[in-house]
Amino acid sequence: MSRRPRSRLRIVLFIFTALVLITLDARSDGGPLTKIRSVALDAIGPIRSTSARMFVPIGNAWQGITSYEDLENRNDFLEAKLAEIKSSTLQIGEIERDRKALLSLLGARDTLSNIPRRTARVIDAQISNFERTIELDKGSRDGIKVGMPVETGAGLIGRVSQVSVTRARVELLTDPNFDAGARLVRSGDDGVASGKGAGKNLIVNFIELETVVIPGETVVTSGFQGSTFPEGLLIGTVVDVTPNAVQDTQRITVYPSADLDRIRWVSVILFEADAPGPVLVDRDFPEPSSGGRIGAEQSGNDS
Amino acid sequence: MISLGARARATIVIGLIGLMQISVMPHLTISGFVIDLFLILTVIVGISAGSDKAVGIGFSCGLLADLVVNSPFGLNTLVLVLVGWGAGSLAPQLVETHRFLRSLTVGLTVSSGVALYACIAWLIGYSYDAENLIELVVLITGMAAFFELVFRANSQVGVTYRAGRLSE
Repeated sequence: MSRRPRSRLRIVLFIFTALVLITLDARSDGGPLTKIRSVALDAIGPIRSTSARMFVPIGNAWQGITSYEDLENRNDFLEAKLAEIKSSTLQIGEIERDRKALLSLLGARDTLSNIPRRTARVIDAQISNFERTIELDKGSRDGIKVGMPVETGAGLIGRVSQVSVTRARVELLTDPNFDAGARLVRSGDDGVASGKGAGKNLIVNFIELETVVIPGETVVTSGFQGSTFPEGLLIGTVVDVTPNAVQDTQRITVYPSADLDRIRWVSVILFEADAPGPVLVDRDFPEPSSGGRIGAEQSGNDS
Repeated sequence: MISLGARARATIVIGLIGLMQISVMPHLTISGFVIDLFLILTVIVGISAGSDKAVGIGFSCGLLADLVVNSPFGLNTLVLVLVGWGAGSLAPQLVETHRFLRSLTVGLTVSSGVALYACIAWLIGYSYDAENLIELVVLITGMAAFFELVFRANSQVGVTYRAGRLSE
């Protein structure tokens, strides 16, 4: 066989192999390719941890040079935000006390705060420009599973997309592949929140046209049965509302409450979609419970 | 036929590039963008050594990239094989070209690779950050052209050095 047809055959073979891999990956969720990736994630984990320790200071200095203006704007924004938060802290404390008093009067439990959490350190940033992910230093041996929600103290940041024994990868809520059931707290109307890329706000679709939505309104996870998120996790606040008369819905722009640019520590909420009863508040009825409420049976944070 | 020594060299280069891509590059971003060394290496090899070698390098780099990223497995492999083949096809036209035109070609080929990735991702239903695509293409074109200039300058230094040693 001459050189040219052989080289063509090689190209065709490579393309065919790539197409087979894409098909296999699409068809087998949790199949051999996922396992191979998990092994790779474990294998490169120590390298990435070490390099993160070495290069984070250099990276920060580099960011200072290449994004000085961004950092300045960010600093101004954070100072304004801090002033805003200071003024609302007292009010929030009062509201929280009222809420707890009401819950105890009703004999109800706050399920969300009872779901156990696993604190993890962010060890590295994304490798590719086409995905918005972070890597954590905890994995399946710490009870982390694919699909579990991840938050910081400020709110939801994403969900676990890949897990190995010692590492987990989190798909951030700004990733274009991310979506979650969302609820407007004031009206109680539900929609679907989707990521639109780094540094961009989320979009919540399927909110009814009649629903009155006010900028500044809080958006939380809706936590329908089977959802990978429990009800009531803070997503962000409404910044803009665009009506869509054709579809009879509204498109809501939501500013994420968690800062996704500089995440150092996160909490993985050990919540599983298939566990029954992902409800924020549930009454304690006197008759014997059938069990399985995730928040009622598991307790304690491990931070 | 590619010799055993050349294969060993290629393996070492891919290994080092892979190591840099997973450990160094995520920290040295420009405007939030990660420089894709796998793509740049495939294009530079394609333009310098032809499609035969570039396709092999693209395949190996693509598999390595697919192992460590979250996108559909095989997507990077497919894109880098096609980019390697495309870049290699341009090689014969660029033998006697001025180095700046050559660097520009490398940059444009790399940006075509980014666009190709976006197209294939869209075809298989994988969402990506489309609004930043133009910014990414512009940035990566510049970076790839710069890498090509540095690579060429270094190879010329190497050639001159080797020629000097031989003449002694």
